[in-house]
Amino acid sequence: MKALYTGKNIIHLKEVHSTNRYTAEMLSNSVPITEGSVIMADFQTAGKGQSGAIWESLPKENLLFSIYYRPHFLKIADQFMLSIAISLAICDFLKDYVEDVTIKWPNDIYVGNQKIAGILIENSIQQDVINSSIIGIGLNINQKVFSAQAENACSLSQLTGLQYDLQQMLQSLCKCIEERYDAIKIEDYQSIRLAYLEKLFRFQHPANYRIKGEVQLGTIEGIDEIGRLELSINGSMHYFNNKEITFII
Amino acid sequence: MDIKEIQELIKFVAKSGVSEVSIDRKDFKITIKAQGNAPAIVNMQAAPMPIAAAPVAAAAAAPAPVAPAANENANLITIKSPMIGTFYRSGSPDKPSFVNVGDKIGPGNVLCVIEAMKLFNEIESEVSGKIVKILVDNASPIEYDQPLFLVEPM
Repeated sequence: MKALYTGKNIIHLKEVHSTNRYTAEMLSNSVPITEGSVIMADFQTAGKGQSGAIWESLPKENLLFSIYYRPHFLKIADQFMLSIAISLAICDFLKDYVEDVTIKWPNDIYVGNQKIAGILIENSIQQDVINSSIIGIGLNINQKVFSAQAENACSLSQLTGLQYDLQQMLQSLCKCIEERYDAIKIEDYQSIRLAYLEKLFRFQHPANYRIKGEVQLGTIEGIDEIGRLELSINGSMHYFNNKEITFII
Repeated sequence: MDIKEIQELIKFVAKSGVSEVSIDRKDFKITIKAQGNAPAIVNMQAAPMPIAAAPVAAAAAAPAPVAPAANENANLITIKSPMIGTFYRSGSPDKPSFVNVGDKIGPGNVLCVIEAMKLFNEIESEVSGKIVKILVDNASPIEYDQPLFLVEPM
């Protein structure tokens, strides 16, 4: 079973700076591009991670792609639902291959204590509407060795000892993504948020976090509407955005 | 530097749209920072030589130019933030700002990026005009509805 529109149109590049940037350039140059189009690359020369971090990946070993969506139905204030949907979709996909898949808030995908996938979402806001959304995904599949800089990284192949066909993996991942993306159009946010919390790394488990330069013991209790992390520290509740807190792993 | 000169300087800073001006001379140092729509002196240090009363007088005189600055803003369009997040003037630290004071903008032009929980939002202009003032510093946290840009309609 294939997805209906996600990945129906695939632009496959040998090498590109970053698939997100390539997609954004297509849009700004008015290149016609249908919703659900996938722009994938064998290799990224400037793969983007969070806050300028570099996403490292060897050629043709991993899935590196961007999906173009137009989530006009989503209020700007509810945009964290996009992050939730994509994170859950990657978990859905991975659960057929490995166990202990979790979402490290806000949207890194972990197996055990190691990162297997990252997401970078870039929206374009026009007249208070999310006009377009470029969803960049890096999912480590066949890469066997990671550099010292990517100390916390892992791949599916490392975990299972198997080798995977990237095109087949892309198709089944696109199906998982489309299902979760379509769900935020119709399902109530409360139940989707609940599914996210069930998959959340360290949910309701006390652990150490770096907050304002200090290590503090806290327990994740949930997220609020805009996606901030709700942490209980010494019995009182605190909310953090992604710049205010670092996981100590 | 006398009070009149300081007032002139404040007016100049308000009109120029820059967020901060520092002048460091042999006998004094003055820093004027724009806060929201009105500039205010945040720091003035007189060197040992000049009359001690001068900085006090300057501080007292500071609120005066605020009113004209507000009037000048009357026919300007204020572009406000559609969301809570962190305000960025460029797509990445090594890239130039999307817009600067004096730039002409039109509908669809990207003005800034607002990031929240790792979702990056390029904010496009709905209006045509000229950027008169940028009200928020790069990488600052911003609230919903917070004024970001002043635009002179064209």
